[in-house]
Amino acid sequence: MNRLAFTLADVAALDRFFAAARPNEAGAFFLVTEASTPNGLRLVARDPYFPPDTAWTETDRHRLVPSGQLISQVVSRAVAANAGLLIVHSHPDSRHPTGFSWVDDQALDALSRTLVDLIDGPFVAAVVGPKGWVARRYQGDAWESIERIAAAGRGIRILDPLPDPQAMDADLDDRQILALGDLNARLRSLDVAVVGVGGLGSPLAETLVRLGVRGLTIIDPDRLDTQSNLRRVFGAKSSQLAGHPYKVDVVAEHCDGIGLPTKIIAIPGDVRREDAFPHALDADVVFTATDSQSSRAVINAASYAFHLPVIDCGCRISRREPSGLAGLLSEVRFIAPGLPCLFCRRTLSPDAIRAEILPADERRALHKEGYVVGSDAPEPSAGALTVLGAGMMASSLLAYLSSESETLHGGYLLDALMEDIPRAASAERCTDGCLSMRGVGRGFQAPLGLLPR
Amino acid sequence: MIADFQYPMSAMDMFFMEESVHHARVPIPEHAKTIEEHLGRRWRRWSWHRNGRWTPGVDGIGSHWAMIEARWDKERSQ
Repeated sequence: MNRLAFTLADVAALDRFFAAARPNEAGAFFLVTEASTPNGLRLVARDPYFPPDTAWTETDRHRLVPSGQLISQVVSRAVAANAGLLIVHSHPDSRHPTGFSWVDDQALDALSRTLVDLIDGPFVAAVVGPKGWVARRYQGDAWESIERIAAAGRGIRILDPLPDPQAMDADLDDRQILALGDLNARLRSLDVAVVGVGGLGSPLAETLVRLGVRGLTIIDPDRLDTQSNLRRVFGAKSSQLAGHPYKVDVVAEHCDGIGLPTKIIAIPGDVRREDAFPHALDADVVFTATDSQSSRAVINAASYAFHLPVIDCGCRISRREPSGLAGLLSEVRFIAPGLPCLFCRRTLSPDAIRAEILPADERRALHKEGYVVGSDAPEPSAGALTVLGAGMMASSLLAYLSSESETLHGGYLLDALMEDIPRAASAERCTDGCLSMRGVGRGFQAPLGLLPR
Repeated sequence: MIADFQYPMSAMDMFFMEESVHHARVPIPEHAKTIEEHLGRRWRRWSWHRNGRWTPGVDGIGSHWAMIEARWDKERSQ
């Protein structure tokens, strides 16, 4: 499946540009970066260019013809950026087709044959019709469709046409449709990935399957190997411990056993590695349910580089000796271009990442000398809190898919021990020069912190 | 200077010089008495720390080198 990803800010600017041109058609250009994924391509659009009226040879309600000078200008821009090119135009009339018209086909065929030898990246065309976006990519001497078009920012906006709600399974979705309305159809069309399927990720995986996502990819290199896994990992059975199965296989089998149509892919690998990481790019939303700072740093960078919405969660139990509890904290953070990254929120620490990556003997030696904070000892955890965190993450997916998402904060904190619900103290935006922001829309050209295969 | 595969998202810390390199007229300070082996050679570890001051995208090899130079200047002036 091919995907085309935008930032919400760029799509909002395009919406305004198209609205100003009504009732005539209008067109704009984006630079495009392409990444191969196990199931297709992820195309990332950035740096839009909105040409003035004078740049077009013809513009009216049914036609839009770019001048040779405009084409030359946008091709030069793409070549200079070592990027591909996306042309997107509007079909403003409600009687227009949602997809490409016969006239579009003729014009784009001619344009693609010229452009394919001039630009280094892909040539992509999109049309914004009355019911949503349709897009395709020129490959060889033919067009291939782009099935998912989405934008990420303070929310997730799926731009391709809404699936027919009638096609949903009415009996299965009955109460959920009552609760979510059209949002349910969106949810049923989503592919999501969960990084880490321990105490937090395994109940999250089950919840997402029960919510009805179309596809679920779970990524985790760890095996089920300690008794304590039985307290936290959904699907884990004591009879499995001796065989040391991968956690992803245990959780996938458990979720498959529910008997719902979600397609589950289990990746027993480290998301920081070049072979496992691209699986995350096949998702519309990624959930980070790992306590590894280093893994979260990779997904944090990918969120900006690939316009990939990420829902991150951290749970922490604070004790008051000998038997009291000082806090049962669960914090959810939404990451996407336009929202502060995990470094600027101080969730990720460059020092902690360095310490985590050190070889174990070196880390222990430096810990003994007092130069490394933390140790290899397991973090305190209790299933009741991680299940709460999983519920908060799944609920956040609904919140950020909804039309109210623009009014939401970039995350929230819940202390199950307190009556009030404090909001997470968080930066409003990334600091100047932030690495995540500098990588926006750059795909694999951005520093992602990946380990070679 | 040592950087790992997640540089510059991960911070740099300390620095290493050939074992024999130190100030001619000043005794080797306590924080530089550890010798480590890297890449088959022995290095003196200068245990100077950034104490959490590392911003990915702003800090890098250049700013780490600048910190080392500043500390050398300070050491020399004492």
